[in-house]
Amino acid sequence: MSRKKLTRRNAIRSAGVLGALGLAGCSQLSGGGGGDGDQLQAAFVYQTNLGDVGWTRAHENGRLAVDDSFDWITTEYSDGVPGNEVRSVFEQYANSGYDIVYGCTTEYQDPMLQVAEEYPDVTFEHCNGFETAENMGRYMGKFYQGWYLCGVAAGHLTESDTLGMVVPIPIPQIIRQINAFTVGARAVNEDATTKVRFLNGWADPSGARQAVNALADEGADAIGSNMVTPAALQAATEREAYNFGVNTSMAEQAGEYYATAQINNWEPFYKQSAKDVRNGEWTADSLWGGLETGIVDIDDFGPKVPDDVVSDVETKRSEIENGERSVWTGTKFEGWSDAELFSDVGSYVEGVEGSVPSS
Amino acid sequence: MLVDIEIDAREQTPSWIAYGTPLFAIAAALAVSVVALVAIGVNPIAAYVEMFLRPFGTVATISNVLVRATPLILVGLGVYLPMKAGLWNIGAEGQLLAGAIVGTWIAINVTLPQLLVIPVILLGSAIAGGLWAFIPAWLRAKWGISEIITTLLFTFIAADIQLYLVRGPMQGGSGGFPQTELLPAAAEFPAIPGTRAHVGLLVALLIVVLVYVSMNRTRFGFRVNFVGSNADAAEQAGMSRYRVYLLTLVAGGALAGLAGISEIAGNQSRLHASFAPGYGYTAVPIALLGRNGVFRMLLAALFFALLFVGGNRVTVAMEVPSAIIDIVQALVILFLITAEFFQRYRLSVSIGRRDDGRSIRGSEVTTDD
Repeated sequence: MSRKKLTRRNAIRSAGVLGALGLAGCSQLSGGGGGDGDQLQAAFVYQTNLGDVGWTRAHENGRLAVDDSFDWITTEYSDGVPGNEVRSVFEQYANSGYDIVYGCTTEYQDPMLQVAEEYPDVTFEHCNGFETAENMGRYMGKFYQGWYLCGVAAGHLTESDTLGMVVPIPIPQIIRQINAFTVGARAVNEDATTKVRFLNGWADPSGARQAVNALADEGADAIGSNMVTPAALQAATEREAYNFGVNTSMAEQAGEYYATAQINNWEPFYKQSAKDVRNGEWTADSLWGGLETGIVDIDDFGPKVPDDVVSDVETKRSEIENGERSVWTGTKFEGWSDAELFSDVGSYVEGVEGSVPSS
Repeated sequence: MLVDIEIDAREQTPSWIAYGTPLFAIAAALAVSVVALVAIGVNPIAAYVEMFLRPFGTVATISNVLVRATPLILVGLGVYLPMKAGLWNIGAEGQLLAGAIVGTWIAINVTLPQLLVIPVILLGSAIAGGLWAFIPAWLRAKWGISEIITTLLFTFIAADIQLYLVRGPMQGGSGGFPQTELLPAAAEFPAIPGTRAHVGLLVALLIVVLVYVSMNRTRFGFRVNFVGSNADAAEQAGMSRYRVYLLTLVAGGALAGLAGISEIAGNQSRLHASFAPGYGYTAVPIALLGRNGVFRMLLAALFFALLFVGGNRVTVAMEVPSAIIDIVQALVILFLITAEFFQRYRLSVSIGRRDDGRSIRGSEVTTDD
């Protein structure tokens, strides 16, 4: 993988900088990523090791898209950097002449604020936090909208009217998604209810598998998973339950009952932010973008999902994009501001069984 | 043809072996790691320079190593001390979490001047860590129940309590993220002037000296060493195994608790759901490598910090996935632990027929001993 990256990067460099002269070999010799000319350098820092699917992979897809699209940018990533070690990594990038540093997890917020203060000339972007600074923006997607669309499909597909959801921990970000999934299902199937299983972790393949089996035992036949592992989806397919993944496409791993996945598509955001920095137009925004920004998406539907279901989901999608439909209309969260929705969602909507743990 | 391998315990480790094997082991591990680095097209020399030399480049980079080392020294001591008494504190992670939770709670809820509040925080964390180790310690001392299992299981309890607290009663900061408020400025450990290392490091070094003195110059240390090398003989000699087990494990827990709060008040400024990526487990190889003396344990903790900080440097400076760095780190640790074996045992390999004089000599020596 890394070798492919090198080849591609050299190809970009030779095409963009020296291509006409055919001096690709020379560019390789002089390589090493020094901040030459108006070449922009962007660093992406990930908390978990880069795998084939999941949150970190979604960011990496965004990075690759930026790298492929613009010949004026060089990108680099570091993965597997825990929050308590990230400060030195940010500093090293800032010291090495990088223009933008993207910190792709919540826990990077405090160290990034500190480093941003030390390096006022470097642009920092933090994913999924609540703090900004003059040279540090924040960005996140309204992924609950994607879960709403998954819910619409689940509402159509379920025969038992029982949905399941396997999720990591009870925090607002996750509660929002459970709620949206349920609201989406009940928009097309008012009898649908959702059973929830918390796993207290983000990637727990065997726990996710057990939870899915428990949900299937209780009659759930359309199951969403907010876990970074595709194991939950595989288990659901084994039980002939339609399943919904998260972050990236899990179609390859999930098997024939794969319905779709809520996709984090960071490409439009990373492109815009890099362009803004290059043009000197960047400001420290707080972006919480929905379907209309392209950041929130859903995957292509699996083979077993009927066409009329697909077309109903597409209709509702364009209604949300046009502002004709709001996820929270008719729920207790109707009329909530984005700030409240971001921070304060601590309980379930009607249709979710039980109550949020420890609330 | 026969290959005879004899393993004898060394009566004494020659000093060239004591000091040479760790260096040789590291070199051997790096030599093996070359395979992984070359396979992904990375120049291994450049990678090793980045990993082991560049961290010493500036005060800021040295600070990074010291900041990383601080909790490792403290939690390393937390495993080292019980190990001297022959106990395995595998669950130092849980005691570290207990210290972090209680220390953070005090820091957020108790308002005192900085000079007062920091000692109170340290004391509270030490007590919390010590209490967390107390039940396994008592079960071991009184009933002989394996502390390996109980301390480990107590870690899971602590981790779940921590997760509950940071998203429930102690949750703070906006966004509803699983973390506490930022610590107030008075509770933050002040930095050592000119660096980013904080007073936690001074506390850690002070405790290293205290442990050295008490292990080598006091009756208590003598008892711990005696019980650790032969508990039955120590009982016969009238020493209380019960007291030694209880004291070392509880003291180890207290030190692990200090590690927890020093990482938060000195580095991270708030308690996150995933604040301690396994320091308590890293402490086990640290204590193993340093089992022959507390200053060697200190060196081991510093070396691990260098491994972590340097490893991150490599992934930043070169296109190396962190999984490859994990391999290099794991190989270094594996080789070092293996080398420990050769410090304590002599291996004689002889090739030839069994009745060959040489191979018999090995067994003659052992029987004569």
